[in-house]
Amino acid sequence: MRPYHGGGDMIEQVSFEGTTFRAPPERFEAGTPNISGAIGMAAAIDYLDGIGREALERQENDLYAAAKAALGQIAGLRIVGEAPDAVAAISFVIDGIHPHDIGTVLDTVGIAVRTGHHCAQPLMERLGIAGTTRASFAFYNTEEDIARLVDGIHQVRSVFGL
Amino acid sequence: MDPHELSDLYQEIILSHNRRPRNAEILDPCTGQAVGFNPLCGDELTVYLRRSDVQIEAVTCDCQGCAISRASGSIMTTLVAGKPVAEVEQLITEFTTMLTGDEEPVIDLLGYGELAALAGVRKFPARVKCATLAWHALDSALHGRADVTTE
Repeated sequence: MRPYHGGGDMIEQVSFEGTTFRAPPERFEAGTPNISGAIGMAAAIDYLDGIGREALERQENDLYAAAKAALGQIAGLRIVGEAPDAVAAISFVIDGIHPHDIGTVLDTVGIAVRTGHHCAQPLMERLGIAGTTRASFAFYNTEEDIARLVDGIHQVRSVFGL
Repeated sequence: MDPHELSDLYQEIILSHNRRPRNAEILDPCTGQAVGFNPLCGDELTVYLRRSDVQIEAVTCDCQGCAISRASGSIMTTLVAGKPVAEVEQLITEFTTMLTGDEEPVIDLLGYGELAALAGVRKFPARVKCATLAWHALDSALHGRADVTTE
């Protein structure tokens, strides 16, 4: 199979008479490999290993439990998804406010959430909802971030007169 | 983000139309209809139209979507009913230009009526398609096209 484009490290011999290419897979990997990407990824792995995977998981689970408890206190807010072994991502709906409107208001106070179907339109249809708003937590998030999210949701409700 | 821009976006007029969209029913009989759908966000609406050769008699908009798309469709139905077709076509162009054009628009509040409340959407590029969806669907219904996607 001929290479689809040329570049460094995919050539074997080049002459006026003709060109030969290296054997696959090299002939399909023209150009400088993503060296900086590999080094960056190694650094990321070292960093995560330095903290410890169990500590990361514990932090995310704690944030998840705290966020779930805090969001559960908000009137008119319903958490979607009750799986016992959930990762630290919480989907919710608020009565009378479309997820995209929630997302826009949260964005203005510096909170990034995902809104809409989440690539699961049949599930949304089955649940009878237009979509959800989803906040997710990583180990670098804090309890303070949860408090900011709760404040942001109160602001959403206030914008919509609820 | 300046909090004033948020109140520009969600003005009371828009919230009111969102809570209680005007002319949200199916128009029967009608001379044209078109579906507007944004697959990325899930906004979906149907615009029904009854017209003569030269005049729009009635327009309704049945919308499942966010506050911006619902309000825009609702305001549209109140604004175009009874207007000459040519004037409505011009309004469609002016409104979409107001939201998507390079120049900051100079709004004639009297001329646009409640539609001027949607001028703030300009500052939220991700939401412009919500505001224009009903208008693209109206354009399709006027010209006999069945559906339109804003994507």
